[in-house]
Amino acid sequence: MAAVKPDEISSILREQLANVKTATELEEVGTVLQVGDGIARVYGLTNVQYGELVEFENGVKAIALNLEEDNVGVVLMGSSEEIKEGDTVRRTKVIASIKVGEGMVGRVVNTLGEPIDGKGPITGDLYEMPLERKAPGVIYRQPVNEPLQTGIKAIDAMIPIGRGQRELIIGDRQTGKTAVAIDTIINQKEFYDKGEPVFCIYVACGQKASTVAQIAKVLEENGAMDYTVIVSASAADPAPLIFYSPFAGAAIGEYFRDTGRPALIVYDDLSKQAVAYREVSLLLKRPPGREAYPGDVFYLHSRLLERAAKVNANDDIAQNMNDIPESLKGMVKGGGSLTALPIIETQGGDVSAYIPTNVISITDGQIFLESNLFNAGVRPAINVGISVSRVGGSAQIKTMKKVSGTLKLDQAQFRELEAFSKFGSDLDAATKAVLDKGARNVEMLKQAQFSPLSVEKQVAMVFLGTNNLMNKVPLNKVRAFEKEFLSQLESRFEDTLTSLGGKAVTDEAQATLRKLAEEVALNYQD
Amino acid sequence: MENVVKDMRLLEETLGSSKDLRNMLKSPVIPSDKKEGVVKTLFADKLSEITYKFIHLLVVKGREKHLVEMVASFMDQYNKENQIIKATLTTAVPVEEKTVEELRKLLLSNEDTKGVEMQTKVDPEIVGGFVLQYGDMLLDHSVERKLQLIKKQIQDNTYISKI
Repeated sequence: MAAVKPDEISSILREQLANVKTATELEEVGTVLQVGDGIARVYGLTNVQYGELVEFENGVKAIALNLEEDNVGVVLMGSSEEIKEGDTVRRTKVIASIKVGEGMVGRVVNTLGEPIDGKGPITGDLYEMPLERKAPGVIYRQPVNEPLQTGIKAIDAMIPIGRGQRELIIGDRQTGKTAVAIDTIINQKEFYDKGEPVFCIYVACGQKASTVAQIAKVLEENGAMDYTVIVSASAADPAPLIFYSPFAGAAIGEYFRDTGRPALIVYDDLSKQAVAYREVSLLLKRPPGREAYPGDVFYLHSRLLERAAKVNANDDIAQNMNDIPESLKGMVKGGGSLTALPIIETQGGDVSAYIPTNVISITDGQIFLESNLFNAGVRPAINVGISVSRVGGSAQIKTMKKVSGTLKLDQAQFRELEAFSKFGSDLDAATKAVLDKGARNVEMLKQAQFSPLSVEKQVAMVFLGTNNLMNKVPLNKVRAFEKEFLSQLESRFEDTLTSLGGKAVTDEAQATLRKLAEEVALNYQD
Repeated sequence: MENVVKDMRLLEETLGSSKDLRNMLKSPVIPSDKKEGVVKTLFADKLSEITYKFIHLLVVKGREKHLVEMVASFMDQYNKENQIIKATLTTAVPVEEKTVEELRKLLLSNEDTKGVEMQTKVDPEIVGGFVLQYGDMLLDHSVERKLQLIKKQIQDNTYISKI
């Protein structure tokens, strides 16, 4: 082994230290009057602006949220342990913002945009994006017209989501809310492989750190981290970091949206964010309202979700968009989108609590997950009857729209009859047929976790369901049938399968599907 | 007015240097006539009539414990009105009067500043360089601050996973 020369060491050290910045300049300061509960009252800082970052002597950052006559209330973004009365607070003269760039993809960052996954600094060009930014105005938007494929049959067929839409995922604990969101992220791999990536941002807001690590691992294993950014503010982080984390995620999403690319953001979950905001608000002595939430908790969520948008495809119009950050000017392109999937956890299925009703009214539809369905083995546990998508219909691909047209109504009718049929045993043939078909469709819509289906395969399955082509397959074998049917379709009739992603289900394709269904069904009859 | 300012400066100095006097004024146990006696012997011939009468009124009305804050508040208002700023220069070793005078001139060059009350402080903790603070502004050119900046940048290791 070659020895390392001492003068080499010192030259390397000198080189490393040469990069350290030590220049100081004139700063504006204040002094801490009082500190506690993650809030500090600061005297001085006369020119500080609302939402500006300030820094304490020990490097802890804070945001100025209360500007009063003789003091400034700041919320700490770190531990208050080493901060004493009389400490100096410095203005940083930047409104809370994070640095975003291509290098962020595949990384786990905190609310301040600092990497926390131990993979070194974020590389590439970084652009300063403000945490709080006004949503694009009406002129710079266009109606949702492209589908965002979730890869989940029940959603893509009956509650379609479009790019730029805001679709709420709501349900009790342990009903698979996160699973739906994660599956959607995994399904975007198809588009990444095709070279038209949908960039995904998963915001873990007040989650357990172990859950975040697990989700990062699942995404990694499924190859989804290549186009995903995770913003993590775990339950152990201070409340301001938690309630600002969705804004940090939105800032990252806006970078992709404004540079003309589609992005998907999952806020998991906004109930915990509202709780963190309530904590900060109460400590700042703002008056409490319903359920002790502050009066502006609706505004907190509406301004966040309003940033999800489909940007006008015309570059010239998009470049004039309101409130484009200085650093992003000249890079703006039209046609980008930011789709938001906020998650809300309800308590005992109570959707009429304050936060759930607020977010339901803000979003363009909701996916209801129910624990009794989940326990009955219907997974994903989507209650199709009360789940809606208010704009998604125009964004569905044509073939899917065609084949799934009657599915939602069929299932509604089935549920009505199902409840009714429990009282009597004598049923006429027509009723029995509806029940049989409905039960098979429920089976057909079941799907395992981490196994999103391409839209062509979904169209094929929904076609079988709505045309009652599985009536001879016993209920408990529907899923095995599905598996074989799809693998046969893929290997033997690839052209037909591809055509299902096109403009219409041709007569030819219909005939092939019918024939294959009959053929495969033979293997599964009693 | 100028007389009152002079009185206030005297008061500020006296109160600042004597802890006993501050404690005496604040104590609720000592009866007001005793306090009045003390104040009389101390200040009667040193203060202008108007200031003395004011202190007398405070003692009679039992508000003498706030005298320290009142004096500070008065000086603040006076300084603000006359655009006088307070500046503190902290250095690791005592500085020459010439340097302080130059800094004062530098501060006076600002058109919003008519006067500067310069204070100097020696603090070996800052190792070297100087810290100049005036109003809400701070110019920190100390070695300590630079060392801290270096420490922070070196400690900030992005190769350690925090999840």
